[in-house]
Amino acid sequence: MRRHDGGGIDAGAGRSPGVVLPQACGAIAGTLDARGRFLSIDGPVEAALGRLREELIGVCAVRIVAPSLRRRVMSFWEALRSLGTIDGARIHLVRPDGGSASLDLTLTLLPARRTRDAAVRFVGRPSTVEAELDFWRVEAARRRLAARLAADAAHEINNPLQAVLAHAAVLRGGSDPRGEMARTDSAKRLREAAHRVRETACLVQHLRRRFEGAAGPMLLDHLVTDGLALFAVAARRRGVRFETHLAAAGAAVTGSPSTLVDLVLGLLDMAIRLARRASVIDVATTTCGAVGRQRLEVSCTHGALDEALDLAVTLRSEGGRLPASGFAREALVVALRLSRRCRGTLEITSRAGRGTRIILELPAAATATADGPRLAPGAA
Amino acid sequence: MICQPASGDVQSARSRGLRSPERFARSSRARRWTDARVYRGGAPRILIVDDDDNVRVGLARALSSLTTCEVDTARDAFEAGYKLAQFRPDLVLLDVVMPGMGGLDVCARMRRLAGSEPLRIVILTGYDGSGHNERSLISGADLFLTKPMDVDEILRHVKDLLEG
Repeated sequence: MRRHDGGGIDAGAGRSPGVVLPQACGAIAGTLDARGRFLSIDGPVEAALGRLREELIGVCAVRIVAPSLRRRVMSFWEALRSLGTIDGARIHLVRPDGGSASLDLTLTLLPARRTRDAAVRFVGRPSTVEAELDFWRVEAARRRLAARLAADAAHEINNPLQAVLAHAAVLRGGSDPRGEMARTDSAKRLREAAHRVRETACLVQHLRRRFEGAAGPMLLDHLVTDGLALFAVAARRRGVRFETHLAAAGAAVTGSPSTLVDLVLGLLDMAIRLARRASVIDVATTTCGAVGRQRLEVSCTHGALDEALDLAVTLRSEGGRLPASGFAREALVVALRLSRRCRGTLEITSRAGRGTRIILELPAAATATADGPRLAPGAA
Repeated sequence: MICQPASGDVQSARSRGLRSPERFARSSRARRWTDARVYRGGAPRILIVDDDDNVRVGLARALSSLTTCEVDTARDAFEAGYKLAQFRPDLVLLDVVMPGMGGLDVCARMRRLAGSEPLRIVILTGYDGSGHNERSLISGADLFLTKPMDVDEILRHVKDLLEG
């Protein structure tokens, strides 16, 4: 049974329309049926629940989160069906006093048997303050990255739309000083701009689907090529060029799809933002067959990352200066956290003047799914 | 008329060591340009600065076909600085996100370069809502517009600024 790391899936704040959890909501465990209804509730919370325990039996678990966020909670079920186990999914509940409680959930699918329908065993543990702060730190970084990508996408749509409007005005005006040739050229440019809008809209559509929570193993090559496509604007603006060597064709990696996406995109984003102008960043994927792991290597030997990433040197106790940018520090911490959530390892070697190499190793999925979820339709 | 980017002039300027708007501002040619602006009449001149080829050409064609203005284009900060001196625009339509120096920096430097000259600068960008509006006004822009904007609307703003 594969495990799915649900870290970062935020079920959101909410209160059941009819069910209010008690003030002292400690650890909770129990079973849900295939339709998400409480079959049993046990654990230390059982006594605290009192009569509420009886009321909860038969109630759909989705009802204890806000209606607007129920669709996201349903993604747990999708992930469970494909992966078997969700570990570390976080759910936020609003208490009657206005405070909030967070539970880290572990969900395990109990497959249907002849004598029993499919069910889900759940165990929820209250989060500590430290875990909460750490969670939101990573979440904030993930959302900032998503916001930047969204702004880039908006820019990429607005520019060709402006071109469409301008060339349409030329064609409508009909008195271009350069005559028919310019009008023909404007018509051609208008078509090009419209095509660009369509392509970018497709990218945005895929980005939206990502936030809805894809399930299933993801192909590392797809992640990289789609990520590079998403960062094409940022790379162009910074004058950075990517050299890709994708050798892990058809190799799928395990872990929460949204975490994997954020991890790979975060690394690419960090590489672009810390790169010097006109530098080349090598991105390579390889399969470590004997170990059953997939490797993603992002490196720059042009002295682009090394200075900003000198903090990475201290991580490996090789000495070095602290980075000037707080971004590098944060990006590394987030990448490290996300890689741990995916049960992967992150290794960074960086020496001033000699370049930087970031190696991410992720556990390979048992079976490669060629049609695994993708971010974008085309390669970078 | 549409003036094509005079890459030869840019090359020539580079070979003469005029590598930034600031350095040009200190040159004797810039002083002559400032003097000449005072006495220049004729149709208003608009400089469009945008790294996106399609937007730049489209706006240049639209403005020159719909108005009597003279229009020239530049694709980056250096070319914009050079054209500012060579073409002597009355109004600059400036993109924010450009390779190399960003539009807001270009705006601040153009404002410094123009000194007391009535140079109008309009920021026209695809980004919105990330503080660009405030920052563009701080850097000396007269107006902040977001793409996509109808050409007629742009023309209305341009006319208001030129007549105001």
